[in-house]
Amino acid sequence: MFKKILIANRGEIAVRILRACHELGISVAAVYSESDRGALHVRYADEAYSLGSGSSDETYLAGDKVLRIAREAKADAIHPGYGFLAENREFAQACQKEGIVFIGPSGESLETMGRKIRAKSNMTQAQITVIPGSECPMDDKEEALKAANALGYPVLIKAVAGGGGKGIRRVDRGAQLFQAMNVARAEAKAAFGNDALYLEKYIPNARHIEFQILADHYGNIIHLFDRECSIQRRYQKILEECPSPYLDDTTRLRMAGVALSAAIAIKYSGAGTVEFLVDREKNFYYLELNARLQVEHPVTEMVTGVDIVKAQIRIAEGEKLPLTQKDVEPIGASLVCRIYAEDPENNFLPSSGRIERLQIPGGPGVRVDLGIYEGYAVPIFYDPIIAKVIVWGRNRQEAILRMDRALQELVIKGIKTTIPFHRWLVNNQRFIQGDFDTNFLEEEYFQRKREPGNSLQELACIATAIRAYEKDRKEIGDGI
Amino acid sequence: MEYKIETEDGVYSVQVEPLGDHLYRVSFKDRTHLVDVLEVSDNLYSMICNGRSYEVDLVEEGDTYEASIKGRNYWTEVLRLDKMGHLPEKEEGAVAPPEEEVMSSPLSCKVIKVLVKEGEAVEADQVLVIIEAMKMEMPISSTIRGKVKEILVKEGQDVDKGTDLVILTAL
Repeated sequence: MFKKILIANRGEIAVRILRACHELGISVAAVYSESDRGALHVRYADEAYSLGSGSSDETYLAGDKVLRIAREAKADAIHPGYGFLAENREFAQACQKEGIVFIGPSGESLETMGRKIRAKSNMTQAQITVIPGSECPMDDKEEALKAANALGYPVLIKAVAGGGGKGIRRVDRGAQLFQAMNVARAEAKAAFGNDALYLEKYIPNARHIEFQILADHYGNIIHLFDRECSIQRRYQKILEECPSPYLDDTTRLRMAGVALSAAIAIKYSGAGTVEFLVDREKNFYYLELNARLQVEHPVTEMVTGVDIVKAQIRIAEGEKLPLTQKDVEPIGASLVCRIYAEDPENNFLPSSGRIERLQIPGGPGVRVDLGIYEGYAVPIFYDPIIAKVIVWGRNRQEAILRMDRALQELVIKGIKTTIPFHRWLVNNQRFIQGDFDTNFLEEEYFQRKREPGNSLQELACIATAIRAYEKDRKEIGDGI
Repeated sequence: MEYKIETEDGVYSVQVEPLGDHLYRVSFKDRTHLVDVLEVSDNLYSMICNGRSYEVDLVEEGDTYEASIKGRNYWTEVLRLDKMGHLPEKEEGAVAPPEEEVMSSPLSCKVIKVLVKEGEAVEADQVLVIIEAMKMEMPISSTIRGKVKEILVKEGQDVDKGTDLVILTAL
């Protein structure tokens, strides 16, 4: 049994993992960069150690520093969260050497997964339909061009160590390839410390649907059903739900079977996510297996009642899965809105600054995972995700209405956030009817016409006039 | 007291008359509203308007405001009348194009790359500077065809929102 876990992450996910640890009676050591000194994950932790100041490279990505701190703090295990060191094979193996448990898949399966291309060839051997793509990393530009031409355009460039939409570029013509490769390489290097790329055929109007799996060290494996992840911008998910409104039970069952075979094919253990693209005819293609906790994991927790982070920790401790497949019964529907520090009115440009006011929604069926508080300054150095609003409903319709209600209660002032965007989304007819794919935001949000003035606009006008009046009264006196 | 208030939908005339403690009569678009306004914390107003209750977060920047109501944002501007009682005239028509264009940072960020040199000629939409914030790189492109007069930042420098990056002279 673990007595102390070091959480090698920050923000809302560090707080989420910390909560699981505390519920299990495990003590938490946090690490932080100097700009995160006042962050929630540091304040809530039992112990906290500085990684110094500087970029992610010198702090949260610096595996040697993190490992040294873990050793000195006598941590039994390290939970990497998502991003940063989560899928770093060298780091996982270095932990193993030190006798510190890396809470994630074994170094061996990470090695396979880390090379997404090799992972794919394993899948092909297991007779799983994969997305057509390049067979080798694109070290040679001319080889890459040949491979792209052979696949046919458009193609996607993706980062081997990828995730979170980083290092992905769509290429419509051969002439764009080299420049896009340069940009993707730089982005991948900055985000993952690894600039290897590969190519993938682009499938238009596809849905992005994934399956959560849990596997222990003894060959027991279950799935926790699917998540719909098609609402994306810049290849980054912004709202997810469980279950997908698109899948019928037959397709769902077939995909779950493939997800399990994919994990078994590489002897996967821990919590993982098998991602698929599903086309208009409901053909599905294996995309990749994400060897980490996903941002959107709470929707699965709401619908299945399984605490995925606790399960991860128990599996890492060497326990057997406490559940069999027939114990997992999905109930109702769940949505998560990722609240980003970005301006949805201005092309989702990042927005940093101090949180002047924070009002968190509550009530039945609402859960909020967050890493901010009133007075906290959102730094410019990291991912812009600051909170997740998660709701559960008896069905999708109730969940959508509940989300709209929760978003109306949520107030984050001082920085721009995606709250107005999410309110637009949960009131959009196509979204409500479940009629969308990965192009949805391009077609609907970026092309939308501004709604004509409504009563709230009028109320803003009235509030402004009263405030101006009170201001004048203070300045000029009552004689106005 | 009458105010001219500009919104995204146009300019409106709004009459405000105090009726007592945090109670006002407001005439707007040919209708009269009874409005009870209580500032429950800084910039946060609980408004009861004709019996309907709202929370309005109103942030002021000079004469412009941003109101957040039920998760949506609306901007407004109080147009101050001059001594003659006229609205200030907006500049329009035959205004000469600016001779200088200052490119500034739209957000707090780090300057990753400066792609031009002082004295260099640039086309409209040409990328001048690449900035990064929250793991996202963004190009700052020239809005005009011109010449780089001055570069005010260095690669690797952290800058605040609104910091001037590059000054261009129009050609």
